[in-house]
Amino acid sequence: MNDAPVIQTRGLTRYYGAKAVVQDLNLEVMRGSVFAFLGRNGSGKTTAIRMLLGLLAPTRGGGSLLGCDIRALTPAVRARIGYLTEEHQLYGWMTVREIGEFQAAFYPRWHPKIFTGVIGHFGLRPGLRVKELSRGQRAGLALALTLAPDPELLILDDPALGLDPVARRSLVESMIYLTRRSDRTIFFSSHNLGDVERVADQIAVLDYSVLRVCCSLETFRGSVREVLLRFAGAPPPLPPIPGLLQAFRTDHELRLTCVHYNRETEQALRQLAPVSLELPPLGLEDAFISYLGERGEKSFILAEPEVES
Amino acid sequence: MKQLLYKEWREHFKTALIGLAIFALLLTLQVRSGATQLQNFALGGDSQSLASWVQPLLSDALLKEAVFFCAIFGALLGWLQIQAEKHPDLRAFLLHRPVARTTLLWSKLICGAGLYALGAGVPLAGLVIYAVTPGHVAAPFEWAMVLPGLNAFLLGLVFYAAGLLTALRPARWYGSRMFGLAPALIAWGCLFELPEFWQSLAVIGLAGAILGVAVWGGFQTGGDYSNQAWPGRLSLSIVCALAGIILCGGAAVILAKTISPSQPERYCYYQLTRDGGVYRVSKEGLGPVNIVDLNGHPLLDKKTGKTIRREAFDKLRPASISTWVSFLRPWRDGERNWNRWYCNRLRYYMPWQQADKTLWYLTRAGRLAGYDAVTRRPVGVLVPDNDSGNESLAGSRFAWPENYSRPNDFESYNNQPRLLASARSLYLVDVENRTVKPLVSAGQEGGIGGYSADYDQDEVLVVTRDFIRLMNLEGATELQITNEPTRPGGSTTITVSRLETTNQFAVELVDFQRSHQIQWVRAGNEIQWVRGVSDIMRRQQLPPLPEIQWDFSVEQGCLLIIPTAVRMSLKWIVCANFVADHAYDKWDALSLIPVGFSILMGWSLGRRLHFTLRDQAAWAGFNLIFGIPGLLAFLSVQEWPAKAICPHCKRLRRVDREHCEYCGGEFNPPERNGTEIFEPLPAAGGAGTLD
Repeated sequence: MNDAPVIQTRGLTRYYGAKAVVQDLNLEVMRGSVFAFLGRNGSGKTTAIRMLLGLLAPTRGGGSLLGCDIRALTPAVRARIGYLTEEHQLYGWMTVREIGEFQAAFYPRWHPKIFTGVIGHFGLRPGLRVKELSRGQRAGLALALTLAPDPELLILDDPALGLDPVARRSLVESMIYLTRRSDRTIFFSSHNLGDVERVADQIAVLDYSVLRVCCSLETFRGSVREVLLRFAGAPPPLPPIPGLLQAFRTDHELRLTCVHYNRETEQALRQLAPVSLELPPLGLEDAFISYLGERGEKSFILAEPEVES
Repeated sequence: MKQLLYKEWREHFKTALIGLAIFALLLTLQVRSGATQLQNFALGGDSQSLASWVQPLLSDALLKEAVFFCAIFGALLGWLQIQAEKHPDLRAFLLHRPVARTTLLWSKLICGAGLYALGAGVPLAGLVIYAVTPGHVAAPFEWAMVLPGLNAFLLGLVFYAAGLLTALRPARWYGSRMFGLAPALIAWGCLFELPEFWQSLAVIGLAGAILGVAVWGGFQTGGDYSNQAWPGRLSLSIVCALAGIILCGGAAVILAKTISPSQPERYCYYQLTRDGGVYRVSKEGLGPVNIVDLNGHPLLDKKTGKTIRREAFDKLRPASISTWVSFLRPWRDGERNWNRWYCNRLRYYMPWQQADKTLWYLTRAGRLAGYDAVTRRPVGVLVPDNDSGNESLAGSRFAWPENYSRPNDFESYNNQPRLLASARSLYLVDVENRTVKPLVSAGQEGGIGGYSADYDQDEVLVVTRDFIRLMNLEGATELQITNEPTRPGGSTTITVSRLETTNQFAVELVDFQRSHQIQWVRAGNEIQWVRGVSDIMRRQQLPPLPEIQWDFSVEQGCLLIIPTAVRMSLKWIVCANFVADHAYDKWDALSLIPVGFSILMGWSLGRRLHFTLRDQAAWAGFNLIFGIPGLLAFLSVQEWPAKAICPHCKRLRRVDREHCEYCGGEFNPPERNGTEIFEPLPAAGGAGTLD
């Protein structure tokens, strides 16, 4: 197996006008991994993917895909990359069969069985026109078109967007099917953390154009911790806590989410003299939402009613 | 490629079919309109404006409609081919094909051209087949008549490229997206304004080539300017500069028309009176009309004793007949005739006479060809009588009548034979009886220079190299004097006036000389007073008239915005040293001021954006050629990158460069907030980051 990264970027940056949409993205994705690219809407995931595929010119920086400069991807390299777009836009006037034939003409490694299998999985009849398909069916067709060329690298831009749970499950199963071959790499963006948890082994998180996380799923889950502090009275003001993501204040509790929780953090919290300090388990979705949610302290203490004299 | 062609074909086939239906309908309506007029004429109606309809291939209305349709259809088709895939995801689906982008573009172009040919070419081909097939058109046909329609078709392909570019190019300013149409609009403007087919074809080809390269460049980068190869960037810049020229030229003309004062009335000419006197009539601005004799004394009104008024003076004019005399003929001496352009029917034939449901044309082969309006087939040909042997040099052909009063319509026969000349003889042609009777023969060394007839007065003026003769239609001579053409390359207007004394004539000869190929300038003025048939009593050379000076300084001032290079090119191409006295040279020199301003502005903006010296020099050269329009192009194509404060030198630097233009430093990585989670790269089969 070749150890060179399949995807590599160096300082990849894109501006729209004066606004930086992707800033200094340094990323490496190794062969055989399933890499989830996460972030909130507008965080720059799609822009980054379009730059990776040479569909959008970076403002500065660069990168390579399968060893080829992203600014000059050759047809031979493109033939090794499957790309599923975010909204699964296809030619509406074509039938399922026609669009399959259209796609097959470009790929020497086209596998009709995969195509037939995937469209069958989504219940698509070959005579249907694309414009007559539901969103989920169109996603299935787009996935079939992406998988059938047997690509080495699969780049999926939010493939489950707008799909119902059944269609989404089909899509995830298709991805799992593909990853049975260890030399295949999947790079996908998603908002659905259940899917990410099922298939991804590496994640990267874009936090408003800046890459903040790039690690294995376990590392991420282990790095984001929730701390519950109980007090006899009202919780005292918080001192500066390194890695603090969010703090929720109630009448007698202080619920904190932070990264890199360690002994120093614990000591700083114990100085607040809580009655108890607990570390409840945190699921990936909660960890992710905490990570990408609004930073800072929030209070759920109701305002005291005015006392009438 | 095959699949791409199929996709494009299927995607836009409906558009082509709709275009085909609309264009076929438009052409059919135009042809029917002409056919109806012909039918009316065959049924006994008049032939007014029939000449402009009878040959559909040269019908002005039909050609205008064809050009308009081809331009709109071509632009729409090109625009749709890109716009249909404008959604970023669909565009990505197309561009992610494992084929070169040039292949993708070729598939679009080949299919687009095919669809355009279907929508616009098929109806035009149908029209040609209709016109060629005997029994449809009662007019002469030559294959060259197809050329205007062919150019209209080819112009549509230029608009097709313009449509592609318009859809491809992201535009910053409102309206500047339409800049892509500029070369096509210029080609449209030139289409029927240039005399020869090949000249229009060259303009179409040039515009198409510029747009084609700009489309290629734009397609490679999705419309981005800075990432294109230099041919694409240059072509796009030229396209935008041409748009700038149209905008600036339009603005200058509107401004000039708005602010320039109206030109005062100015004229100066000699006028004979019935008593044989010669007077100079002149007017300058708002002043009165001056009518003075050759000694400068004002002419007095005999009734009032005061200076005569213009209206009263005009009543003193004698009856006269005049003709334009030139021994240059287009088919004899290769003289350029600007009225006979490739799209003008007068290049191929002149509508001559209509008699008894037969339309007679004088063809450029010098024959009178008759077509039956009912059967729409040729009925006969009349040629000069060759018995005298005079026609051996010029061939047996009629010359084009220079002063024919109705070159765009048929003249009614009215039982009146008409005059036509060959190179050496003048004939009386009777189309109804189909006879050609010689009236005057100029002899072996002579030649017919000009003739004119007043059929109501039974009067013919004919000028050969040897003589000037006034005669009647029966051939009886009233006046004949020797002609002394002094300038073989020039032309003369000869006017014979009948004076109030019986049997006295005044013959006025005004010589003109070609000035720089285009303009005739007055080169001499002589009057001969003749008694009887040929007794010259007196002859007098008149002093030269002062040249009228017009003041166009306001207009020229407004037109300074047109760059010097373009002004000079237009002068060279169109006018060919039109202005003999170089009166406008100072304006050409002044037009260097806006050019200099454009260069300085471009240079200054380039410096602010830290262009490389090569780019600066290239833009300076571009602005030198295109001036203000070049600066507009510079502003419209150039992408203006955002600026950010350099973390090292604290100065504003471009965000699209790795290193600061001032200190060479790099951008710092994004600021950390303590929540980053990174881990080292796994050895293999995993992922990680470099930080």
